[in-house]
Amino acid sequence: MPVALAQDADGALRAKPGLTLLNDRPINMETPPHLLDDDVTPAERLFVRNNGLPPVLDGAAAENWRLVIDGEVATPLNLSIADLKSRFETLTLQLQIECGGNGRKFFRPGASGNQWTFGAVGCPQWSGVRLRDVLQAAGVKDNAVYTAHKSADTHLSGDLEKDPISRGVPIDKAMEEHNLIAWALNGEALPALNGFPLRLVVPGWPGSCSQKWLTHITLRDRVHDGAKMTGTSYRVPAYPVAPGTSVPKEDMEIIQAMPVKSLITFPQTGVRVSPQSEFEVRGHAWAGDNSVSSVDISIDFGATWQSANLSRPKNRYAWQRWRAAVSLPQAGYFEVWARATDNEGRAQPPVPPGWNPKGYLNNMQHRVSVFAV
Amino acid sequence: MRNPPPVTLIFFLAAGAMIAGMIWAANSGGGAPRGIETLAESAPQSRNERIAALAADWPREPDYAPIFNALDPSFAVIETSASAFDPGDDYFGLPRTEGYETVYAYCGACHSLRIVMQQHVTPERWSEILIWMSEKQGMPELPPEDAAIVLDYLSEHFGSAG
Repeated sequence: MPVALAQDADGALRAKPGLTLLNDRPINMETPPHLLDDDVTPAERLFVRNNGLPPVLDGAAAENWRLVIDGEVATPLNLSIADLKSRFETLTLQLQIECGGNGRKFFRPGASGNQWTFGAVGCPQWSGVRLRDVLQAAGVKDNAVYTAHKSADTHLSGDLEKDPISRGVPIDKAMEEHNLIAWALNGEALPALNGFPLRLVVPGWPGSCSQKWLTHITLRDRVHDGAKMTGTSYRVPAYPVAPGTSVPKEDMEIIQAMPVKSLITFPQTGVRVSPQSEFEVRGHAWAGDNSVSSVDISIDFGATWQSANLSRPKNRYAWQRWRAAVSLPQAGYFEVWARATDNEGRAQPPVPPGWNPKGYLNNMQHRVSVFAV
Repeated sequence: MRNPPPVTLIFFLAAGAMIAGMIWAANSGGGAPRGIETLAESAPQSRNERIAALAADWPREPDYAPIFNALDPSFAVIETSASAFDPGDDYFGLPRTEGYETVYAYCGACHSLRIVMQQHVTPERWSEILIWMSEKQGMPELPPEDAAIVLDYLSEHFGSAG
């Protein structure tokens, strides 16, 4: 794996052509919506959200990798990837993963961090073992309430005592059967920038719960307080606040499931079409821990809506394909808006919802412009 | 590339923002996960007092302009970030006003200045970020006179109204 080559901006852009580079130290890249049109997101089109510097690894890294499971368990484990493959059931699932800050760019006043627009999301096929199976093999003690994840990437300051990020999830979420300890993406080894050789995939929650370059899972008897678990990181106000409010720290709560959302992946914004001529509009929709019940399309700024055809997910936590046939009534400038609704009746708002200090959970409707000429 | 939003859109978005606020309110009642204690200061009563204090500070005639943030869909085809960032410049395109060398040295030592130059946050948020960087992320503490200059510089060039 050419990990070292992917460490700089040029290498990252060669590994993932067409993605937008938001930051080069550490590497952060998002995928323009029209490049997310595949049913299953290709490796080279999966976004990159790194907090630190990825480990520089050689080809033997996968053979030598160790994963430690300890903390509030009956029997701590120290496993190779070969151990994972031989001791536990391997499964392949299509799982959506989205950065908690996807859409941050559109909050006013601004929220600090990478200014993600729409493309910090993807839904590849992951292969690995259930996190639950591995934790059960270690024996989860009754007092375990939270996981703590650690990894082999390094802090930007060069201080090896600091973790770039160390997050976790409540034990109930950890034991959900779709979470994977994964070594493959679309049948190939994980990409260098996406966690080679081993990572967590905890779908439906902020991507930061899915630790890359995974080396260590500790079960804790309290809420994990690792890097980016505290303060304002991956937290939102416990109550709605006016834009720009300085929220007391004790009123910031850890984000759990991500909200319902959809993307228009075809056509690309700015497309020209013929008036009164039918064309397909399509995309994907997903809904955190929930499923998507419907997707609706508007070509008149939300005045009227038409139903899109919505497919079932490949498996739970896979995004769902939607398609609609659209015809524009006359020549002129139009926008296509897409609005997904989840199985609890919650739909995407037309504007950024609930301003919060760090700009998380923006699930506003995606829009593309279409000129009929 | 950009078109002014139609008047009807602005009215629609005004109504939409109110609905979005109600959806947010309905969504935000998750509560603590099972088995995790709630801190005493997070109790509903003390929260209500803090909310009352926030309400007292909110202007009677707020400026709604920044709230109704219509998304221009041509946004996706323009440069999305770091427009001032210039990898070929000695200071990566930092505007040459007082403090740029200090910002270059302190903010660019560990991470790229791209992340600095794509921000549009309030002076209060910049202040919090600078404290967080020195307390948690290994940035040497700025001497007080430099701290004020850096805060002014970041707020002026990479700031946000409101």
